[in-house]
Amino acid sequence: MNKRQVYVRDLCKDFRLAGPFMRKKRVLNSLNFTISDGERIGIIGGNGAGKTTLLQIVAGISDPSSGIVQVDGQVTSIFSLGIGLRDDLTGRENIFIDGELQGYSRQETLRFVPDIIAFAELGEFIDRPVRNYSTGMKSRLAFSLLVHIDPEILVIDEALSVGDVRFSAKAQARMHELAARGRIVILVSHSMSAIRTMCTRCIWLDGGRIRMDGEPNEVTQAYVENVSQAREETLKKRVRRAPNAESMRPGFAIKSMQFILDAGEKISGEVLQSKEQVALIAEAEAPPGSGCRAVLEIDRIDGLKICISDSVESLPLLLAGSDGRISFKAEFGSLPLNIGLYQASLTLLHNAVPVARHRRSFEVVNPMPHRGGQAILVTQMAISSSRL
Amino acid sequence: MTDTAYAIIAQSLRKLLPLERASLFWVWLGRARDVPCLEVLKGVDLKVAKGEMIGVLGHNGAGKTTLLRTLAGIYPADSGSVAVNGDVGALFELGGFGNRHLTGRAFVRKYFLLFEVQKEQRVRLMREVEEFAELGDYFDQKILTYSTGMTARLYFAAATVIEREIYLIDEILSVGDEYFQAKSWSRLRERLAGGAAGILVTHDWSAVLKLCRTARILEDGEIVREGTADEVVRDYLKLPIPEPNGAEIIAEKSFSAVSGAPMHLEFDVVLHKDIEVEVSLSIEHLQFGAGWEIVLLNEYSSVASTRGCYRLRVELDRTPLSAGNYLVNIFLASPADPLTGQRETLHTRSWTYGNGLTMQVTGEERPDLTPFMTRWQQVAS
Repeated sequence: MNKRQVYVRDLCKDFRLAGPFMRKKRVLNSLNFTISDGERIGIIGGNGAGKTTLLQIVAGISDPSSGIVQVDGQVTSIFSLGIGLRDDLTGRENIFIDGELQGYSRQETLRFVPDIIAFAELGEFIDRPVRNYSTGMKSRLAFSLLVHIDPEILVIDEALSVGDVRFSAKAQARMHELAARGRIVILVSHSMSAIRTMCTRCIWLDGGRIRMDGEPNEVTQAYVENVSQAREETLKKRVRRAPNAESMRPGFAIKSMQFILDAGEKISGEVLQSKEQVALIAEAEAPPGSGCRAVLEIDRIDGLKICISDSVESLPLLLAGSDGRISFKAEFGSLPLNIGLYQASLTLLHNAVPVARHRRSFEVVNPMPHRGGQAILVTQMAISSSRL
Repeated sequence: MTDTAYAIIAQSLRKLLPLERASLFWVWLGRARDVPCLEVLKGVDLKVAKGEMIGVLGHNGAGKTTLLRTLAGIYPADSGSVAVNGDVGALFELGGFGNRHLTGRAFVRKYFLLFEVQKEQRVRLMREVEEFAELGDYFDQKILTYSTGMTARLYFAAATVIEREIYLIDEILSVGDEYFQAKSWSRLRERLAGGAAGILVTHDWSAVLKLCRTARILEDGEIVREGTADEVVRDYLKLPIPEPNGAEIIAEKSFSAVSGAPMHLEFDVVLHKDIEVEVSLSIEHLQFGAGWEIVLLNEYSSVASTRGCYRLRVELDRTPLSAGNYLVNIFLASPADPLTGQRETLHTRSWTYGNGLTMQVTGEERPDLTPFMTRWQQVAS
């Protein structure tokens, strides 16, 4: 038998962009790799890294702009599930057509049919036109068509979130089997655990280039670290957006508001830690001698009101000095908030009327997250037990 | 309630989808209806009061999408009636009319045209969509250059920027990253708080708990269950009630506490044999429409290891909860396996099994969920 192989040298692919000029976007940038017989390759990377484009080129659906792609062996590719189904035919008829496309004889196909039908669990729908199927049913049938194939080179673009939870677990298991049978498997997936269990080698694409190529555990780990770092950074960027301050009545304003550690250190980047000793300090301006109240609201970024605290709970009034300044502090003690993005909004009230407001977003991180669930507060209840 | 109090009334709604395409001959004879049909909706009765969001749970093929399409008027009903009072925002099959060669901005412009947005408002709303979708420079690029997440952001932002009275939603809230999901939730809640009504059709039960007060289960074209969201979800999940396995929790059905005051809960645990038992406890808040939140969650701690009856005291200096009703879940398990971290469950009392406990917190009604301690001080400037 011939040796199967996928040989890629200096592969580039450009896409034309919208606009009057022939601007191009390079989606794949001089890729070099060889996949030899028996290898199962996982391809990972962020959105727009070029994963799908690479698969399409290997499967022969798309042409490279330059470079060599040599594929020795018959390629079976699985992209969007359901693309090959004919709407007007019944599920059963679709199975026969698919069998013919895969190059099986009628006899062989007849042998597979019961397996496929059993796997798809479509009930009476199997003899109804695919047009009548719900989206979930279509993808179930499409996936089931694959259960009997015996691929030489199998190319899979992750489409495994098929149907409801129960079916998708079944599909997942069958996928593993399939991968184990394939001589060469190329799998694009967002599931690192799928890559780790199914692949013998992993390629990480980043902006159209190969960032890393090697043992699945190492590559996926490096990738996950990189992703979580990048995520943290974008979150921080969003959180750091200029704080906004407004004054509703002339003469009143909140000049500054900031989180500090109890030790007095300023906190950089608005990132607090659960259980840290934290306080909020603020400086406001008001006509000399006037008395004010302050209300602090903490909201989670999805709008859930977490905590509202009013300065009258601990002080009668905040009094402006002769220079028209008020400095005050709200101490949280050990910060009970868990991981998340929050917004703190401080309102100054004069005679119960809001006169100035200041908002600031912040992020809370928890170096010791709870296993098995995430509560809003990290506070722990004391539990004691005594024998009766 | 009079009929004007409802946003949507569907009565014995039936929908047949033809199994074969009628041949022109039969269409010509006016007998196209005689082709064999599949009854996808078998007489659905559904009333949605104004300002109410209901959840419809169902597995693949239950008829969820057909129901939404029929309510939205995309499919005509075969029999029964649909009355919709108010303008409808359909948050499903988003971008269905979208030409992927349009730029994001052009898509939104077309959307506004289609939905007859006043000229004066278009500029403002366009800016809102642009801000909400956070596409940056891509807003002026063709949609076909977008990633899946970006497309979803654009469609969602466009579809929710105009305030509607009724929303029909088909599990779209699973799109985008965590940050965008949070934003989408808060936008939907805003719209609901503004008095919108609607239907959320999904197989994601947690979404129903987050958004809906009441829910239905749609099974094989029929509504088989109706009730408050938590009851319906419990039925939908059909989790078997866990039998005590060597250890058992014995507790009154309800605890009580006072907001801001010391918290003190007591319950008993019986060990039927010599076995090491650890306990964990969570207090959850389920306010329909506002969300399902775990407020407090304890790490496992040791109870006992010899056969007998034990009293457990759970204490906190200050109850960090607003007045209202909470759910208490108690879990008994063996200590974690040092290698795998796995625990063997011994007994569980949780609302998801229908054997949960509740806690009533009394005190001042407050808009915030977990008023924790803050001490204010004026400092010398």
